[in-house]
Amino acid sequence: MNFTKRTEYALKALIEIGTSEKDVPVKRETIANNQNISSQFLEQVLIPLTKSKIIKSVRGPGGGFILNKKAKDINTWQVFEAVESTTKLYENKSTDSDKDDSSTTQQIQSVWDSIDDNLKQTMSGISLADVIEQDSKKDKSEFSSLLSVYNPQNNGIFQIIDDDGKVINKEWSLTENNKGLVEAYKFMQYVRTADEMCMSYQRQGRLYTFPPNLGQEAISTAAGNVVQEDDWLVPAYREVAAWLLKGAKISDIFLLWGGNEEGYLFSGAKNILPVSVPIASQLLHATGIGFALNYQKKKNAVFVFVGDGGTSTGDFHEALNFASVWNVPVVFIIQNNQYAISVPVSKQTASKNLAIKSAAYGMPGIRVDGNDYLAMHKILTEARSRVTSGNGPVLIEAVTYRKGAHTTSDDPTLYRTDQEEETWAVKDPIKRLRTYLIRKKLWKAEDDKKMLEGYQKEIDAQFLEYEKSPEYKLDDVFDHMYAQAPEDLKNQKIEYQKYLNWARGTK
Amino acid sequence: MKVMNLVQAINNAIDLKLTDDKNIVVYGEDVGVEGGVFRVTAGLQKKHGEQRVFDSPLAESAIVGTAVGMGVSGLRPVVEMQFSGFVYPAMNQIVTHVARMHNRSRGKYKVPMVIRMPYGGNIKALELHSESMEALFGHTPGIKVVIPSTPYDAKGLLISAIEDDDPVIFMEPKKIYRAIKQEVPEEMFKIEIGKARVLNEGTDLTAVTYGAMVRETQRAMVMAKQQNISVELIDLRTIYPIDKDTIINSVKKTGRLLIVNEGPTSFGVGAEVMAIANEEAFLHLEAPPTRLGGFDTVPPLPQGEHFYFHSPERIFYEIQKIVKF
Ligand SMILES: Cc1ncc(C[n+]2csc(CCOP(=O)(O)OP(=O)(O)O)c2C)c(N)n1
Ligand SMILES: [Mg+2]
Repeated sequence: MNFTKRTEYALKALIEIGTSEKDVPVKRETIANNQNISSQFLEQVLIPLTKSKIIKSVRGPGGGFILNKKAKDINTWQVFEAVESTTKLYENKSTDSDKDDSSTTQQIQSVWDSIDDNLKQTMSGISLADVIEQDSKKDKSEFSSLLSVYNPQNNGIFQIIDDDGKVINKEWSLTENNKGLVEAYKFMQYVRTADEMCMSYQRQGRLYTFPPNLGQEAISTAAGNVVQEDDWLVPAYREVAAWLLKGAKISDIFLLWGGNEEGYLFSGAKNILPVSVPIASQLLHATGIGFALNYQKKKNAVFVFVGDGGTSTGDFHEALNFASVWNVPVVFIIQNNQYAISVPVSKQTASKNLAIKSAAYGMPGIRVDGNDYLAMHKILTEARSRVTSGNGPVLIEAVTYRKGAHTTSDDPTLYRTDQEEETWAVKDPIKRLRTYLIRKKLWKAEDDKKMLEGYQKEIDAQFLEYEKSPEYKLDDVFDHMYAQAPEDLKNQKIEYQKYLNWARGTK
Repeated sequence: MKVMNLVQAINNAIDLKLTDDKNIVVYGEDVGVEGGVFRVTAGLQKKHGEQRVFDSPLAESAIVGTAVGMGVSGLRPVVEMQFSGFVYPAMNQIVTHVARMHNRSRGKYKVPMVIRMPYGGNIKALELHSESMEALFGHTPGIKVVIPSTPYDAKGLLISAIEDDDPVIFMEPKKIYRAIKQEVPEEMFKIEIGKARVLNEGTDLTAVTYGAMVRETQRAMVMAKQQNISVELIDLRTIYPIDKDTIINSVKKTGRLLIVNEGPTSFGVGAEVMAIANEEAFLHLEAPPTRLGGFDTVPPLPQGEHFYFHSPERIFYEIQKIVKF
């Protein structure tokens, strides 16, 4: 016995017929096209399936094939029997002259028979409905092929370009066109310029503690370009590019690190939560949003960020577990920038990488070169399409390097070497995309200067504008604590105002 | 004697205890190689080895929970919460195990641990970096809560805390980590937990405070003195067990009471001190006791924090109101 292509094609044809809308006959051509079966071969399975009354043909315009019984009442054994010439595992084909009916031969034949019986039993227990359900769960996206090639068990890491911006992985289709790549490059440069300027404003005392994004721009730029307007973005605190692309304004960023709660609003942006200071706590919110999206039958995704350090928290594991159990549309993005303040990732986990942690929760995980914009954009695009098709959450470990200090109050010289910083410098995401674009003649080296000067001017003007924003008021301390302020709280404000009046009077 | 600030005094106390007692281990986020984000444990890993002073993975609940396990098996862990605002993930361990293990096991198991954490605000910090939640801990039976205000006290109290067989939450006023310097003995010495200190004797009003608010209250007292108001200043030093005697004796003498602290006013330490005065010195009161705590709001981000954290002027305003009553 041998399962031939006939059984496979018969099942494919039946899936196609069985999943068509109620009672609408499915045409031969539709089956042939969708399942990629030649019409000649298709005919060879449709005839026996019709003969054995598994399907029937409907004539006339709008005709085609429909199931003759309910999918749950058709089992795979019947299909097998209908289309294959034999269902026996082994048949003694010896001729009469050398007929062999020794007792050993009979003994062996009884083994074949019992296997045949088992097979029949098993296949009779699997209905077409079961097959259809499995097929609908099957993920046919490119993401699943990426997952199998870059299995975190083998420490694989998905890249498209190398450190010199050369394409090293031609087999994967690009998800961003040339124009998009140029725009992404420009945006990454914009974000880096803003970052550097914020650090200098901080040094001048014009901003407070600031966590730079230096070196991690590709990850959040890709996320910002993939996230759709009705998708949710759930920030940690080091993915400014994604906030801006989701619709936040640079003035929000100044307000935030300038010590004003208004900055949390990301005023113009839809479906984005405020920055989350308690490490990893936001992951649970993303899972909850994912639940709500499913509940409300919305076809949107949630993108949520966390650092390598954050993967050690209980919240990380709880969020992934819930997300997977609830099958929510969440893309978990770990920015593995190698450090949690001074603590290297090697002291954070004994796992061989961070993506592998997904396995414990029954969700797919993949490592990506976070400094490769093309790979990041590709993986997030595929991940988005996967989660929004109802296939549950995914975990993406974006491997990168925090080029700057943890925040403006950190001193990395205490815990890492110049040499280490230099080995990562060659992997800089902006440098890599830039060489890619120059090599493809999509960008000219001499255009950088003008672009960067333009950004500096623009950002500085906006910063001066921000500095003119209204002064923080006593009301701002009180007025948002509750939707409806308790009397006592109102009185505290009034009492404080009395003090302010007194203080003014005494001066 | 050596001039030390709070950071150095705390470092010195841990250093001496690490040398003195092999059962002590020190860990938390960034405490090893870097010596903590405030450098409180700087140099200790180099001196005492990675076995005893080390960086843990990032998880406060795990840091405290593992310390419970170490504590019941004979070690004396001294762990750090990077900021008090990040103790919340560990609250489950603190409330359900740290505070209860001794009672639950009828004394069979002790959890002699110290949970250190910088606390308090007015330092232009990010959200959750300015919290004062000593009242939460004070409200949790089974733990002791200590808050020093000077380098000398910090050293003496921390040594006592490490030697204490009960768990101690040791809250360090980060605003004055490096602001106050004073001569501190280099050798080991202890200050008893549960004893407040009268920093200044006075006759008109008792000001009870602790942590970074001690210095602000002292400044307010300079203004008060110009108005001939004599303030008796008490530094609580321990939130729980609170030193009732010192409070009561002082209030009996002055008849007026002001409590100054940073955390939200309602259900706070101020309410507790007031209750003590009402219960034990009621007939001596000449004006209603007053709490000057924070608003019942979250501490605002830097642009708004001047409204929230008390200036000496704000404290003086309350002092003169009480005296004028
Ligand atoms: C619950 C909690 N504990 C501690 C901190 C203090 N803290 C801020 S950032 C940080 C390190 C985070 O590292 P990682 O998750 O790798 O993110 P990165 O900063 O590298 O982007 C720590 C310990 C915090 N914000 N929240
Ligand atoms: Mg990190």
